[in-house]
Amino acid sequence: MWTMRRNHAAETGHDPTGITVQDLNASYEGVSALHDVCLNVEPGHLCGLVGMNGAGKSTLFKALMGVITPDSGTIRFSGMTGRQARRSGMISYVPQQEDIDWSFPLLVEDVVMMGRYGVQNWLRTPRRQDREAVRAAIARVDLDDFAHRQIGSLSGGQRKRVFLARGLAQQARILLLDEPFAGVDKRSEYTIVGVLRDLASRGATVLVASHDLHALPNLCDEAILINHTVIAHGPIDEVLEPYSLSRAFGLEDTDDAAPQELTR
Amino acid sequence: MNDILTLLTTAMDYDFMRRAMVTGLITAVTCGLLSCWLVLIGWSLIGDALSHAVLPGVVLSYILGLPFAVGALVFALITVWLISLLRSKSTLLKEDAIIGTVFTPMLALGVVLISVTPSQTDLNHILFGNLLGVTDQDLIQVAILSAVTVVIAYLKRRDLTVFAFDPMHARSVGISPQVIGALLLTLLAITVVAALQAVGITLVVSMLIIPGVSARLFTSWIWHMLWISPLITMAATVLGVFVSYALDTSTGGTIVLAQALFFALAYCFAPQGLIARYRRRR
Repeated sequence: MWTMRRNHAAETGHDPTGITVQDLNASYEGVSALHDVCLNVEPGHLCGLVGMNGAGKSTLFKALMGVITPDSGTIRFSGMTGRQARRSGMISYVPQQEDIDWSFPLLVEDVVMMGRYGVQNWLRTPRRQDREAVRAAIARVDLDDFAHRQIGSLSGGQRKRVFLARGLAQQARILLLDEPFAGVDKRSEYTIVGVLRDLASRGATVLVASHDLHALPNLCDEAILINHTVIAHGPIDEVLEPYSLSRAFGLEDTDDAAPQELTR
Repeated sequence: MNDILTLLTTAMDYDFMRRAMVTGLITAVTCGLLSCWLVLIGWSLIGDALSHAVLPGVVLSYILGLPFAVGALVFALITVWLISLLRSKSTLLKEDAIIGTVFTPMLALGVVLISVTPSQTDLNHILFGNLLGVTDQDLIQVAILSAVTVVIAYLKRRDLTVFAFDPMHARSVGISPQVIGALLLTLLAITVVAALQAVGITLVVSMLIIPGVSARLFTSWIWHMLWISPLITMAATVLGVFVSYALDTSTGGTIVLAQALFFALAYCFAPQGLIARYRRRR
């Protein structure tokens, strides 16, 4: 099955870059969550992944990160398999606030240094260029004054910026962000948007999962709507129009009042 | 005061007391170090389960004349495998319930094996420890097991920490959470065997949990925890061994009580303790 899919991609002569997902079926904890998901995010793009809670956003991210094994389908990052891509350290993941133990006794600096583990030796001994990269990444997200603070003492927005800095230190080419604007102040949002735009303009591929429809148009140039499968994929203003939204959020086509409420 | 000092110096004149102290201190370093990651990951119950589940392995090793570590390791791995198997096949049952359901029969199997094996006195020492009866051979075995564990855990401290903190990120920098998880479980199984001499199977888990929790109250930086935790455990061991000598009480039990005393003090007076936090809030 897997080989067949790969051959299919080769036959069509499509040379995949960025994130390519073909016919992905996946289930999480015994429940089927994704059906025949096909998508392609090109490098240099900021793409929003929009859907309700339980629409399969997290499952898709887990499949991309290799936490769950898909039932069928292929995932490619710049033509590499997930395993190859992760081993090369090209993917960075910014987790949801709830997925992290904030009382963990680590400083901001330590977390950002973890972005360098992939390029260090097997003991992960920090070299001068690692310290330099960590310092630069922390400066880029305006956390210089917080480098020696324990992560739990930071605000919601600062916490997100720590993980973004980790991705910068990692020099990841592909960034996956899970709800980066949840509980984030305006200033942090501004910094995060600035950094992500900057990365995309240098050819990085950025996929942002969110159910916050207000923040996305500021950030993304395209969006994917999912509700267990891809409902729409295109420029952000087209995707976020009421008809697509009503399908993504599982509302009746005739019920046109509700989607407008969602976008307001 | 002088009387106490005299009592303690004379205690160290005995060979068996010196062996007990050295064995206890080696155990303290190993347990204290591993304890940091265990409490940070939230694996206290896993530590509890593994420390009890190795009993049948240890008894079988005794019967077959193998080193205890071999049987213990085999049964630790069987336990971990059983827990993850039962968990993956049914989403109905909660993890802590499955862990409890797996390790208690393992312990029971060990108890049954002891009851049918001649020479019961030796095997009871496995349950409750026998620090005062440590032979030179035992001491060498504990030292080797501990040295291996401490060196590996210390060298791989950054991998263990990223695994404990954010396993998803570990994947994205090419570190396999499965491999590091398996490594930590293996080190844990070896540590349990090493600590059997000092405190016995029933109390090993306290050596694996209390030090890490106490150290966390002293510092909010993991790299400091990694030496504070063994240090606290060593201090509690020294106190425990002397008190048990002076009062003629169970050595293993007294060491654990000393641990608990240190924890209570840390909970109140340490930099991250109750009083300091209350003061900061005002």
